[in-house]
Amino acid sequence: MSLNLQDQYDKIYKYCYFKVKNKEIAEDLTQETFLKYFNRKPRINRGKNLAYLYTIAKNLCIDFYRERGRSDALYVHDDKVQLQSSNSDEVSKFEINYAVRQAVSMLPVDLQELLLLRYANELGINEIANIMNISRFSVYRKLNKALDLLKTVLREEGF
Amino acid sequence: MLMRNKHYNSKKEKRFNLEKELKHAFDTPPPARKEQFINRLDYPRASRFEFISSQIGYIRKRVWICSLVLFMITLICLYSTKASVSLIWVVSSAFPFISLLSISEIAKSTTYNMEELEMSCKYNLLEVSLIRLGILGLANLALLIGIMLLLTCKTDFGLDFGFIRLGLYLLTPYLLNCYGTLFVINRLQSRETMYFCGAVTTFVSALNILLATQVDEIYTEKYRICWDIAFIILVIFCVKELVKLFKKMEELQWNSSLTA
Repeated sequence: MSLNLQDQYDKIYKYCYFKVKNKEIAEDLTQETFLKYFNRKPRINRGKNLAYLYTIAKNLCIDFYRERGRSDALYVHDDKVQLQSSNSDEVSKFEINYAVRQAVSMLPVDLQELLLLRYANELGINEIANIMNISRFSVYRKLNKALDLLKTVLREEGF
Repeated sequence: MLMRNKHYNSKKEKRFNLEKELKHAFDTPPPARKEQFINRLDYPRASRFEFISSQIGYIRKRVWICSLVLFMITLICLYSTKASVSLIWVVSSAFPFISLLSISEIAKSTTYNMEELEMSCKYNLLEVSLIRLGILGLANLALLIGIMLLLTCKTDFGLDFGFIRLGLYLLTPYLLNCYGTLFVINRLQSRETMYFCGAVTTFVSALNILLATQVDEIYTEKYRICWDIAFIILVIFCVKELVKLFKKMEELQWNSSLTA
């Protein structure tokens, strides 16, 4: 359970950070998510409960912007992730990572969210469908669309 | 064709790399208050009862089904045929197979090479095995008592032998099988363990049938002392083998902690 909680904390934090682009606020929202979750659910289980956890996080992020009237700034990128590079290998990794980040930022927000849930947070198709309130078929279709768009952008960039 | 395959493979590789890159495309600054929050978070943990009841779900259905089938067969035999002493050896010869099913639940981890993994889990193998053994033991006891009640109520065995003696006749082959299978499990560590256990069970069951049919008056007062001694010796041997099994699990846990 403790391992699971540690893992879920990181993933929810990543999700909130993606939404609010601020470390402090993302962590506050993550903690609030867990507090709300444990107020209503006995334990973190797999399946729909995980979708429930994400739904709380999503609603908290929406509430945050609603309260502060910042909805227009919701998806403004503010990359503060420190990527250190020491040798040429690292530099090339950094370049690829930067290019992918840039390419991802060009995608529509719903596709970005989908990629985050699928590849960064490693959620299953069913879980993503539950979180995003769409069908499994839509998840597959959007994922393929996102990957195709990304490839096109990256190809234009010379990758 | 070859070119097409090559193209397909490189396309797949590209997508794979892209997916790998995507994993890091959403990297975030590390959370600063994570450990503090998790340590202080008072989330409801699973209670002991919840843990025990969850273990029932992991016991294979065939254990319950076979126990029920044995009970039903006894019931049918009692109502459809004239009950005789032979019913005792029929039922007591079937009991070792119930114990085999229970033992197979404990040997499952070894059979599927999952011991090491289960040792590193929150509830380790020893704890889980103890709880499952407890559940299976209780279920077997309930089955035994149910059959004994049926036999005493519906036949004259209750009057002839008394409840405890009837239990002695039914339990002794069961205990002999428990000892035999535990002996095998403690000394053999392979996927074939269950086949040896099956052989032991068949042997015990056949021996029981042979003794009951070949030795006259085996269920009489004449052999009572033999049954009593066999029962006590088997209980001691079973306990010894169980202690050995648990010690072995503890050793495994100790080894896992050293190599972790």
